[in-house]
Amino acid sequence: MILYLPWIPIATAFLMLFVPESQDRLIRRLTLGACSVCFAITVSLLVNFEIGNAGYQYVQRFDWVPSLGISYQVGLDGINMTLCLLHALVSLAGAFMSCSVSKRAKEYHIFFLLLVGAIYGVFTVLDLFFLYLFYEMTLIPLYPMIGIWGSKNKEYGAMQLTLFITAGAVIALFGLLVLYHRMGANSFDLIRMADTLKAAPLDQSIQNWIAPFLLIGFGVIASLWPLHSWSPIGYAAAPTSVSMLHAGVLKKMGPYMILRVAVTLLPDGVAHWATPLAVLAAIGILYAGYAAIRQQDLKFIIGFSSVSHMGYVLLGIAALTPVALSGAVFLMFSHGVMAACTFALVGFIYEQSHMRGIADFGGLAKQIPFVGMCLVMACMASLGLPGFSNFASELVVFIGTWPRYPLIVCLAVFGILITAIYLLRTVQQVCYGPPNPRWSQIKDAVTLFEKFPFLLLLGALLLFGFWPQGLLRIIGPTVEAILS
Amino acid sequence: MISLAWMILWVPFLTTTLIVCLFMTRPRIAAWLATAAMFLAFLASVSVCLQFFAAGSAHPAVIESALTWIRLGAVHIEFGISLNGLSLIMLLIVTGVGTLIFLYSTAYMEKDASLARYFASLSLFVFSMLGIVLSNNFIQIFIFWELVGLSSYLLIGFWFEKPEASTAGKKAFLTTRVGDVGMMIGILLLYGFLTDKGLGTFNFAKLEEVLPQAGISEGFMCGISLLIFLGVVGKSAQVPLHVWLPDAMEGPTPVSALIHAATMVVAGVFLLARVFFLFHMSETALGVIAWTGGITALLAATVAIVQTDIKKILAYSTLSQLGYMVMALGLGSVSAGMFHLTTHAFFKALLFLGAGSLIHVLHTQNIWEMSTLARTHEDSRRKGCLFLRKMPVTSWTFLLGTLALMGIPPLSGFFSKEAILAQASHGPAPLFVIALVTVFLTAFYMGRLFTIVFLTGHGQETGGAPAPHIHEPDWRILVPLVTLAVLSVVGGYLPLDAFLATGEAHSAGHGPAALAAISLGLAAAGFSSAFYLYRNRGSSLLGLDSAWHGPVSILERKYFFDDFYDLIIRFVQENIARLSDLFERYVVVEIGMNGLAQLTRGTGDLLRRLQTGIIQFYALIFTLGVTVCIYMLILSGAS
Repeated sequence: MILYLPWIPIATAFLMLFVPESQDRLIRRLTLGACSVCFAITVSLLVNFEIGNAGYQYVQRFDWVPSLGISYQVGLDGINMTLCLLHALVSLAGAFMSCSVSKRAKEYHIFFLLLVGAIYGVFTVLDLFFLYLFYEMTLIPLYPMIGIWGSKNKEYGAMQLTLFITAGAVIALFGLLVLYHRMGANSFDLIRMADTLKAAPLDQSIQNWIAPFLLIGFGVIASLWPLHSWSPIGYAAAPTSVSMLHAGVLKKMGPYMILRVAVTLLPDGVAHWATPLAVLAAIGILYAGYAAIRQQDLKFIIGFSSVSHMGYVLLGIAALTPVALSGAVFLMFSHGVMAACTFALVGFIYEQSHMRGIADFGGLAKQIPFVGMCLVMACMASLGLPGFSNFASELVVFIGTWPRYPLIVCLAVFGILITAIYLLRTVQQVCYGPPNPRWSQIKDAVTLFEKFPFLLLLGALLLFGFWPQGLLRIIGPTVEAILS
Repeated sequence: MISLAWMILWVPFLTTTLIVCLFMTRPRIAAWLATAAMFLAFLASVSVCLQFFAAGSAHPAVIESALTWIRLGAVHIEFGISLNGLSLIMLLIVTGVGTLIFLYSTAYMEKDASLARYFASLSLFVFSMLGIVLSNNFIQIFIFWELVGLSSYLLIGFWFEKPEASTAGKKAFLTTRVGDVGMMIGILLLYGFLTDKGLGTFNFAKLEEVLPQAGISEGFMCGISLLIFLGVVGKSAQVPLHVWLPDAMEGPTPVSALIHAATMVVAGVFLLARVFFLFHMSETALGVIAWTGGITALLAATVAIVQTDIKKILAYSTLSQLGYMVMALGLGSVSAGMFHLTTHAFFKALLFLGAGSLIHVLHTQNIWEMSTLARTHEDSRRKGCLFLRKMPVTSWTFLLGTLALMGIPPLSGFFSKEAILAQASHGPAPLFVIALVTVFLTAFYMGRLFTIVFLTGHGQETGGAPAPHIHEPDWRILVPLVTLAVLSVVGGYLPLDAFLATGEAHSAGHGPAALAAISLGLAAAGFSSAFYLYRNRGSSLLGLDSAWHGPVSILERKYFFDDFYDLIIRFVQENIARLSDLFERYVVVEIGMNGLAQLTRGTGDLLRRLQTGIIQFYALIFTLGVTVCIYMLILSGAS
């Protein structure tokens, strides 16, 4: 089953090539169908996931180029199981949001499915070669999707985002190649690499030398300060479902790769650079929060907010304690779902109003009560209100990071106050106040079809907010095994 | 018994969920469902109480039941409930006063278009408060602490089309969150320290056991206590984080009653009492707490004197009374603080609901306008006392509430205030003086309020608006008023010591007779001087505008706290934000990103120039290159 995850959307995309442009209903159904099937598969994998087993499950392996040690190998442990679930949720919601694209719908859906498939690939394969391949594959659909279907400064945004991520990937690639050669096991198989390096770790000096390439290279994707600026600009330009997938899922590939490659294979090297990483993360949290206070554009606010939140994830990783790492993975999930939800809501409003400045709105909670309520809920989730899983995950990050960096944790806790400042300000300007007569024609989400993506994402946040153990019991053992 | 307690906790939440999912378009069902659920919770609370005491000493003082919320290695966070005397008192107050306020709301809010949303939020508020009251560990209390913040945000900003209301909601949320940041850090500090010793736990009962043997130095303990106390300062609106509470009057009046009597602000006092074992370990911390309470009591009482909005007077009065409670706890007496919390819940809820009843009929909150309305009303041929005749229940219950707040025997406020004063008389002398001055001031501002609204026939000559029909409101408003009035009268005789069983040396009771006489004298002096001053005079304070202008304007500006915070926000926060934004715009994007792009483009440009297309030029470069190579080879060969 796990083997099919990346290929179902990609195959559907190829199938769609043969569907005439005029059949737009069929095109939408194909996208929805592919994403739903993948969602169902992921849920079944989650349900059958053996709890307490720290290693990889559902492992399958096919040799590809044995002479170089390249094989197509898939498998799930607590970390990528969680991220697969995140992607399943966000891509399904994104598929619903894509249904409203009318301009060149067929091409959009093909690109969307390719993107979804590639991300599933990243989160399921356990071979460094294919991991990198899928990782680069995500960039191919991204550039045209932002450039063609985006808004405002779309060419600039598309360029920024693609170039930055490519640059990050190149820096990381350099580190990976050095690692591959130094290790000398002649294998890209991540499981074998981990075993080899555990038995015979690289010299501390070499680890110290390689680790920053990986941390910076993958850090770019996680919008590590000060390499974050592509993120608000890119999200602001991207169409709704791309912002959702990117802020929600793609951005998590950065910390995922740091965990999977850097922390697992070069634990001492990462430990050597942990303090600078934690400091950068803390700067990112506060800096992006303060920058968000000054923004007027809704998408920029959310963009900076996501930079700020990724700081908590990176902080959790830098702490390198099992609790903090579990919190970081959990937060990747929570933030992904929340960010996708906010971008979906903003996209819903933007599609009708073609306005994104918070001052352009007012009283939306009266005019579109359902979407207004969802926006308030998503913002509450984002500012770390208990009941949503964001609170639980941030709490775990705080508790886990405290023994290592108490002062930085204090700053990070202060960060949630800043988050509250800019989000409540946004909510007040957009949702509250006297209704703006200009938007008296604006339509609410009425049908279940329109409401579904928001309900799905908020439901997931609430479910794991009330029952964080549901994910933590899966993440915990894996993380502990990685660090031991 | 414990399963009944679980039920009490979840019933209001279930109500909220039901209303949101099913009854948003059926407001009447929503209102009665919520009220019935509250009443059910109250009955269950009474039953839990009876069972608790029927068992006598057969069970331990604390009954716990907990689920695992998070378990990661050694970190174990529970979600549980614990029942002890303290939580039982609060359970009764929250559900009991809550039920009355819900009933009141069904009439008061009847005509509001968003009635269902109102009751959904109100139930959420009670749920959050019950969560605080029942919780058995620090993280859980923090969770519900934040949820209380959320509910207050939703309810204070209930009429969100009004910019003032949504701003007030935001202010409440953010101000209390400032305190919460401190509280979170305090909890982490405590947990981190204990984990180092291998004793890490969040559970209150375990903490109480573990703390004495953990060997925490007094200074460290003081730091932790004060950080946690910061959360109390925020939620219980103590100076300097009190600024949100008066603004919170933008919410509907029953919400104010709920915030001031049964939820939110008492949460802080409850937390102090709940983890008193922690604060008890540091004398310095207790001193800071006592002084914070004392200063709050005094400052708020002075500001209350110049307010003209009936709800704001009551709000400042709440601040002041909360100051009393915090001071009592700071002076080491849990029972006196909790006693005053209980009686205050009755008479302050009564006063707010009474004020609401007046506002409901008169459509104004300004005490001078109320007075004028009474005077210009066509029925007011007889001098004054219009409300006493036309709205006897509202007026007489309001009087009872006023007297109870002033601390007149044999009403409940007398006993609880005596307990605190008795405690203060053992404490530092300045604090005792502050406590006594506040007694006078309390009587003064309540006397002023009561005289102007109910007794004066000589308000300002500003009438002209058509006077509304003055009548007694619906029974759903009167029943809560009468019930609360009865409780305000007899509240002083409640056997609270049985609940608390603190075993303090001087438990809450009557202070020495001299003390009672002094405080009674002060209260009488306050009320009568207010009566004398305002019976016949205009709206200015003391009628001596010019001479008193300076001090009065300080009071009217509320000691400049709001202005001070405005300055901080405008000059500190906004400037940091502006700096970040400029840095982002010009350094990160312009120099970093676009600069890099320019550099790349420039390099490309330069290199492009080499591509001249002139064969001779290429040949020249080629020859030069070969020459250099040969030269290098010769050099290396020579050495």
